Amino acid sequence: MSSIDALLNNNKNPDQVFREQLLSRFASHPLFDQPDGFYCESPYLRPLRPQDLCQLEFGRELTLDELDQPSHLMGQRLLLNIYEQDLIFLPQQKKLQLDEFNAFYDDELRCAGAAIRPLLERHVFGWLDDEVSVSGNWDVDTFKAYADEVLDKIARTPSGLLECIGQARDPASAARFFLIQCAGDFLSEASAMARNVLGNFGPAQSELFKILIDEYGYGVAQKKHSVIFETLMAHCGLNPGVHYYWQFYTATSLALINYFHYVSANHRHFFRYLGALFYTEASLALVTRAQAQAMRVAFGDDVDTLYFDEHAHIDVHHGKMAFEQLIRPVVLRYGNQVLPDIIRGFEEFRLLQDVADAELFAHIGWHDDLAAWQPGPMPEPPSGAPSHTFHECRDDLSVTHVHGNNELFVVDKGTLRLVASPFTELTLGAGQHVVIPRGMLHGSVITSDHCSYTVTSLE
Amino acid sequence: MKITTLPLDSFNSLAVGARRYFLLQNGVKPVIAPSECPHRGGPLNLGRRKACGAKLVCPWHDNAYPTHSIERGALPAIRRCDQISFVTGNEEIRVWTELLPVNQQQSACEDGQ
Repeated sequence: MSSIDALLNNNKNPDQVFREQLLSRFASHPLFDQPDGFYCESPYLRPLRPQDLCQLEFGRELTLDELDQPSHLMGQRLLLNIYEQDLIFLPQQKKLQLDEFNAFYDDELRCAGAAIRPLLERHVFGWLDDEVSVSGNWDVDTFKAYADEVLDKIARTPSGLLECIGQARDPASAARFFLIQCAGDFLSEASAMARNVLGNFGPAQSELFKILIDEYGYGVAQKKHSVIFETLMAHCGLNPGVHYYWQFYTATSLALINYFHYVSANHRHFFRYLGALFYTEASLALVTRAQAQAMRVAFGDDVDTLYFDEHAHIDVHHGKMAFEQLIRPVVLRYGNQVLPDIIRGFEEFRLLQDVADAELFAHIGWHDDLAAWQPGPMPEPPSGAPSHTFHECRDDLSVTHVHGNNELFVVDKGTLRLVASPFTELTLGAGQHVVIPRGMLHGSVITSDHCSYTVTSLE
Repeated sequence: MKITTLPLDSFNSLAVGARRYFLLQNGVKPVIAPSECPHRGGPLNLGRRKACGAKLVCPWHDNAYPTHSIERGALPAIRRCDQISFVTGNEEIRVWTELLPVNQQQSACEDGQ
């Protein structure tokens, strides 16, 4: 059947059918298909679990309460792949596989990505319209007063990260998991910012450029923030390869990266970008001291905290520059009409950061629960609860994913490793079970010749 | 300047010094709008929605004001989830809940247009 026949014989809206075809084409690309392991040795290999697509609905906006759903993780993974086709990645340690390089930047793949991008953006970021709104008669000074209040509150509030890592069963593993969440962004730091420095928008353009060149180390590779972060990762026993830990990014960590691409890829959102930039630069100046302290709690006083110390210093300047040299002159020049979007960007990124922190802490808490796992009585699923049994062979790997409900995971035959992070896994044998809370990232790999396991919803 | 943050469902009216405001829904946006009608100072907070919810009608002289124009005189405010923050001078702030016209928070037509 030709693709046109397929369209004519399908009862769905042709646009919807076309979008689904493009989604499937993009997600099923060999670069994004089934991998051999949990770690990505190439910056172009980014597994997506395309087999899940048929169960996911991207045609509506998620709500704030649904960010732990599988379509959020899939949507954010898809979007990052689409956005990052605009960036240049070359392997730093491994040999360049030219066929992978050409495939990642392939015209047809880029076109498919560009076509599905708006749908995905609405799905994963549309909820912000419902949760944040700006009204009334703002001027630049009332915004400054509001922002100062928000930032003062951050400065006065004890660090949730420091508390979470300090109280974790294994602070070093918790800290490494935090660094992994940062890695997706920090290893190509300020790439979204670079989307905003072209064109012509007067003196503000030069001010933004100054922040960009700080981020990129003024042309000195060792000063580039991403390079400083690579050093920190290596120092903490992590692989600094770009997206080496792709499968272990939480959906809301991905959202932090993607939001900046979202408001930068389409310049209609430029003023939202300015607000988000101001929030992130000004708040990082306040939270990076606690992040450095968290590293010392986890790894001892000898750990190299230059990455966080650098931000504790330079982001004091960047926060001031973002407001006094960018936002204030832009509002003076273009009027208060641009303020609602600037304030919206400030508040949206603040909310996204809070949501991402909460998801990170929940994952670290679950990792602690798994580390303390003991065989126990099996919970009784509700009658009629959906249940699926899988039969797999040795080394079969389930790419990390989340479930939309709490799930009872029972091994019926054989053995497997349930992997929740690079540092947290559970070996389960026949008759053993674990409850996987909704929204918790996990994968598995079979360690016996044959293995059967059953996943049953507990809701 | 002073920043006040309150749960959205904890009030629908407030006074900042001598000026009174009320909570008006403009689409998905809550607006902290001045209660005083710009015409003769009538109680705009007791106005009813007209023209498919896009206008508020002052009960004194039936002047109808588009909600977007009322918003121009509103307090600078930002809603985040179920909370609203607003910026005022350093005057005393009082908040309370009072009975407002039933259709004021709706976008339904009252005039059949």
